[in-house]
Amino acid sequence: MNKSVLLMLLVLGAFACSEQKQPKDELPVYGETITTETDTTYHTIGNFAFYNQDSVLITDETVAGKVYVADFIFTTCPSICIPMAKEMLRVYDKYGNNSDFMILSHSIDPDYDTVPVLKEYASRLGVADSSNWHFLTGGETDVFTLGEKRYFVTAQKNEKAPGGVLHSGAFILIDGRGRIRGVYDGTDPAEVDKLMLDIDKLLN
Amino acid sequence: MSLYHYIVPALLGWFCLTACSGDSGKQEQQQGTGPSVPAGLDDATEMKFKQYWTHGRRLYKQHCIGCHQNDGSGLAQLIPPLAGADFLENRERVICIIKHGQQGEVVVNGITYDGVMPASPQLQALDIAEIATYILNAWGNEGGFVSVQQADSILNTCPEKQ
Ligand code: HEC
Repeated sequence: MNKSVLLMLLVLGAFACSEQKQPKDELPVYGETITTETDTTYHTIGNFAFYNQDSVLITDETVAGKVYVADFIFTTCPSICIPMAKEMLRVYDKYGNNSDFMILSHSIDPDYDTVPVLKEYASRLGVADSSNWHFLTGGETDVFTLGEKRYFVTAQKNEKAPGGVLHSGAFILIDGRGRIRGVYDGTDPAEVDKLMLDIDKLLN
Repeated sequence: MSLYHYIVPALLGWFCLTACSGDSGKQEQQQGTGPSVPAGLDDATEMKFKQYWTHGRRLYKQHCIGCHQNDGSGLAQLIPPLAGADFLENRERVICIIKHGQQGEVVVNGITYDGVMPASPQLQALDIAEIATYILNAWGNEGGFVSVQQADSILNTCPEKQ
């Protein structure tokens, strides 16, 4: 009797826990989802075009089929950008060599953060040349609209906020089909640990 | 009714809690090693030193931690370190920087930084003495005590004042 109870416990215990360890698609899909009888359409990031720190044009086609993390920064930011950069460096250290993965850091001060400024910033952070971490500026896309309407984060110029910009510290996880699969506080190491677990789920 | 009716669910609950808790219960680490108390202070000064250091740590968390980090390590080549920084030997400059900020090149432990540290005009001589006492004696640094009188007289000589 004792043995069978123990066995049952083990089996049930393992079963109860397995919920947390399912393979990929248990991550939510953010934004409006429209389900018809034949089809489900999800909110996606859609078209964009920016230049990276090497003046290479980066568009939605560049990221198609890749898992990527997006954030919104500016190089003269006096407050949360340093903790964000520190956390993003951890992500970069882990996935920087993975060709199925990218990081897109969008400057929300594109007037100041020109390509050479971003190049200097990236190299001071220790980001290798032509790596998969892109610092984005310029281009045709309005970064504020992109941030608010497609990534659902606050990214606004605001003369009263410190540094003149209202700014979210979010890291946003996007899957290979352009769908938002997670939003994390990029200044909080525990949240970024969670992000990395979720990246693993999407990559596997 | 068998006892197992009660024991099994209870055990099961316990089992799941312990089995699933995994990494979620990570303890937040208490940062820092406490002050390195300078040698040769008399009792009264040592008391003062400890008070300054503790207040200084609080002010550091408010004003500096976002850039220089909890462990004083800075960040890559963007933000210079304070922990183990040779720059701190220049105490006069450190005190002026805390008040007036710093831009242009600075060399710390052989690495050239070229960023912008904002000024903190609201900080008074006492705040600055406390912050300086903290950063000079945290993370293994041993830079000695900075009194409010010293901070005040150094602040009067900052080039930014002219
Ligand atoms: C917005 C980010 C930021 C904040 C906040 C900040 N610093 Fe700095 N600090 C810097 C940068 C960047 C430099 C290097 C400036 C340069 O390159 O000229 C620097 C340089 C220094 C230096 C001289 C170099 C070294 O590392 O020894 C000291 C000392 C210093 N900071 C102390 C402080 C203290 C104390 C505070 C809080 C009152 C503080 N800083 C707040 C960014 C910051």
